[in-house]
Amino acid sequence: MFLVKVIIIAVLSFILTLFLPWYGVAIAAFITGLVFSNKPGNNFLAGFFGVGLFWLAYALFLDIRNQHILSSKIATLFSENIGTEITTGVLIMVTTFLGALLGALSCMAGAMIMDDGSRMRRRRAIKRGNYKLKLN
Amino acid sequence: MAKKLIGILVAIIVIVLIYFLNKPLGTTPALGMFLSPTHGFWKSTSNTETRNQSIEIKCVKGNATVVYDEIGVPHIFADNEEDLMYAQGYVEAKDRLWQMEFQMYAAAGRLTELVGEKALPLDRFSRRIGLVRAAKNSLEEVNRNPISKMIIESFTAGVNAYIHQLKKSEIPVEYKLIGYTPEDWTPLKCALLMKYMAKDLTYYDTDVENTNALHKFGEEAYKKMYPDFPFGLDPIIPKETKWNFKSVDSFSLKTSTANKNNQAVLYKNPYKQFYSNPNYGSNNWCINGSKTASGKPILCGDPHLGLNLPSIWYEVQLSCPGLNVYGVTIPGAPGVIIGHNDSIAWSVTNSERDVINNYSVEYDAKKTSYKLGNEFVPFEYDEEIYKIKDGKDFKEKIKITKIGAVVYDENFGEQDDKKHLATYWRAEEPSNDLMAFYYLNKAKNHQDYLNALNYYACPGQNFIYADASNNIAIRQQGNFMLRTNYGDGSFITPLANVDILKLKARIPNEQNPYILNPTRNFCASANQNPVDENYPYYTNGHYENYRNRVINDVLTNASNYTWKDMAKLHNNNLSLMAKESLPTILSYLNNTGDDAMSKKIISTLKSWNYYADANSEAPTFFYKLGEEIQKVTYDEMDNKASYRIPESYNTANLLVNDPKFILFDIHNTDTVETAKEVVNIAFKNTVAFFTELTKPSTRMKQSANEAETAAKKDALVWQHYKNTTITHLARLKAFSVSDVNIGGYHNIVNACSDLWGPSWRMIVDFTDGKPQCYGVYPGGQSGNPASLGFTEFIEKWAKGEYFKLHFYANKAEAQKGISKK
Repeated sequence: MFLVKVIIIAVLSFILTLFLPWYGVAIAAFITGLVFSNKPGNNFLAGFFGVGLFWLAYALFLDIRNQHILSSKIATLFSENIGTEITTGVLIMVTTFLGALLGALSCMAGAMIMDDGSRMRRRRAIKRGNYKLKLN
Repeated sequence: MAKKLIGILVAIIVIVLIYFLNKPLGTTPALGMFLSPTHGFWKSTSNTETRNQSIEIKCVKGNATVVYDEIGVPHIFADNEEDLMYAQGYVEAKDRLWQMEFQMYAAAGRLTELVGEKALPLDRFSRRIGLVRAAKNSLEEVNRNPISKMIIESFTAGVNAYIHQLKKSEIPVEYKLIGYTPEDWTPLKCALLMKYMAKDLTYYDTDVENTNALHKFGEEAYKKMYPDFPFGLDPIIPKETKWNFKSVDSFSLKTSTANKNNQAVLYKNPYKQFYSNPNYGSNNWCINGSKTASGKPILCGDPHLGLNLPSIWYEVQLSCPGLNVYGVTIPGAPGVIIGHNDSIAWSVTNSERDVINNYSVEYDAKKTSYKLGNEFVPFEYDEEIYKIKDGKDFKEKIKITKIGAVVYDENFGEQDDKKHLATYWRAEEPSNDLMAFYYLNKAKNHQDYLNALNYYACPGQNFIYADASNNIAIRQQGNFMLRTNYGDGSFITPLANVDILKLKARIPNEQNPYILNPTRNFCASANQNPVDENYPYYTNGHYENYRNRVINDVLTNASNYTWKDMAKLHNNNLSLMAKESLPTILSYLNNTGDDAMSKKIISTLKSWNYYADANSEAPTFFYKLGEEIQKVTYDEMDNKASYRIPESYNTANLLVNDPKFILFDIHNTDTVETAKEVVNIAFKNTVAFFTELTKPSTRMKQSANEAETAAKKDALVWQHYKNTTITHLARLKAFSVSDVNIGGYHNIVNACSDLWGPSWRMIVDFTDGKPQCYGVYPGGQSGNPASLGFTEFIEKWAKGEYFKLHFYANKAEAQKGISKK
């Protein structure tokens, strides 16, 4: 279930950012949280990995395709501005972490807002064995 | 319920976080956007250069085929001119969009929209001198001619077609860094680009400084410091050439009116830093078959401009029925500016003629009108609004007279009403320069070339010409003022005295300096005086006097030359200034110190061969010493008013031939100094400077590695001392290339200085009847910093090597050409 959620967040992030601004990833994570709400911690991690992995993979893909030409220039630019030397690897890490953090918080927020306790009750019911699937 | 509240709280935190990550802070871009792989800089790697590939572009009437060769030069083939221009606009935008737009922000005085308040003085200067006013005048002229209207509109449509299909997430990284998006291109921007170049090449005026110098130093000294014709005069049109026409105006050139301005005031030039670089210039030359191994002519050119990334030049081949041309253009300009076709080749150098007059303004009591002739004429006003990034709009009303704007007034740099200056700039006169290039691109022979040039007005250029039938020629072309007396246009005069009809009158095109097939079998120009005293008009300007003599000397002795000899001349590092003045300077030195640095400098200079090579130390010492000599000599030029340091060749000449010249005397001493004392003081200063520079700093002890780098980059080696830097247009160090391994300097044929130099080296060899072009420029075809090609040509350029360029007869040949690779 956790893995599915991670994948859904990643895929939804990709789709939404095709036409939404960059923060479409936060919306993707938030919606997923709303729909599959359960424990906040679980959602936090799902958002973290969902968006984080998407950004990591996408940045890596673009950067390798570009043979690190632009990223190394941007790394130099940032180094000059902040006064410490940073590398392309640091840029990738910062990018990934930023996406991951946004995804994590958004997904958790979604889950917490939606969670009216029904899921927990259902889960307990399943455990006790007196939960019946509604079939038409 | 508590959980829900926490959830809402977290959501709010996320929204706030996104808000801040989506907002640029000062010069830092919106970090969330900038770092996101879907919209940030990572994504700006999507539109890099195209190579060895043929693409189709859907144009207005049909398709155009663009064949990109192995260095990324597009060879465009279309069925008609409309589609050709459309496709050129498209490919220029594809490779250079950000540069095209950024230049236009600068030209239109809109930089404040991108970088905020700090650009306001520059923007106000640009708007006051009237770049946009000039462009609007030209656009009217362009629109009156159906051909130029077609060119400019098709080109614009092509640029916009590219912009409209470009995904916002994939725009060049500079847009994302600065935080804006591309706007539509317009025909006005094409016109504005020409005026931007006119500003770059003509907006250097010294009326203020001349007036002050004349007032302060007197006429005799003035003439020695700023002679109209320098020593060793070697003009573009050989001396003693007879002019077989009558000048338009009946006048006597011998009347001296240097003292035209009797106002005993010293003027200021408060925004001189925004003037163009007076050192920008160029070389061009050609030799005919009697001097080449092949018996066919060779033509060369190398414009010296600011060295920037993306480069100012962009290579392109344009081909459609009736036209096939190869060369370079400036991104944003349709057609080819320097290049060749099947029959002819041409290149340009700056004329350096003075096309600006400054006038003092006399107001009425209310300051709403100005005196012209015997009456007061009310001002018109330009209302300008400057949008400022992160700030409130700035508004101002600029006073406009019949000859141009009041540039310096109480709102801009000059509180004293008597010193307000109205400026007449020739570039504001309507012109359709585009047509000159249109016809040059198609020219088949010498007559076509002359006809084409008649359209050309500003910035005045020396158009050099060679053709497959072994003709060579050069003409200085521009819309030049009819100056009838020595000193005309060199000083501030009262606006009240202006005769507008005469001011706007011009020297007829056929009377511009021109020569066809000279007996010396070569033509050449290097920003020197165009003519000698026999020419019946006054041709003031700021001319060079070393490069021309080196080039003419080499070409006079040339025989059996091939393109490789021409390449050598392009890269010639001989400092004629050193050759002519250094022996005297050394002879003036006495009692120099016993310290290691003094000895080192003297022995290095004594054994110097006068070549400013990259790995040599002598040029470092020589040019620093020269700088110090000027500083010591012109100590009279204080900060109370604006002055101009005389051309270095004049100082060098005075130093050698007139050592007792009054300016050598140091102002605040009781003794009388001559050139000899000046040189000795300057030498001491130079020694002190280099002793300080090479003193091991505490920083060097930090690590062995750092000490090693410091040692490697020896500060005294010419390359490192000069530090040729190819600067990114937005001044981003990370996108620039510095410490380029190249020699030369200003006043040297290889005019490679710190921030400007040979911006495109071209050699066109007609050896096989068909022109073969060799060329290189310090940059790369793609202006995208994410491209491998962004800085690709720099190394070859620095080494003095060239690309053998492809000039394809037709589409099939071009496509075959790339399939071989």
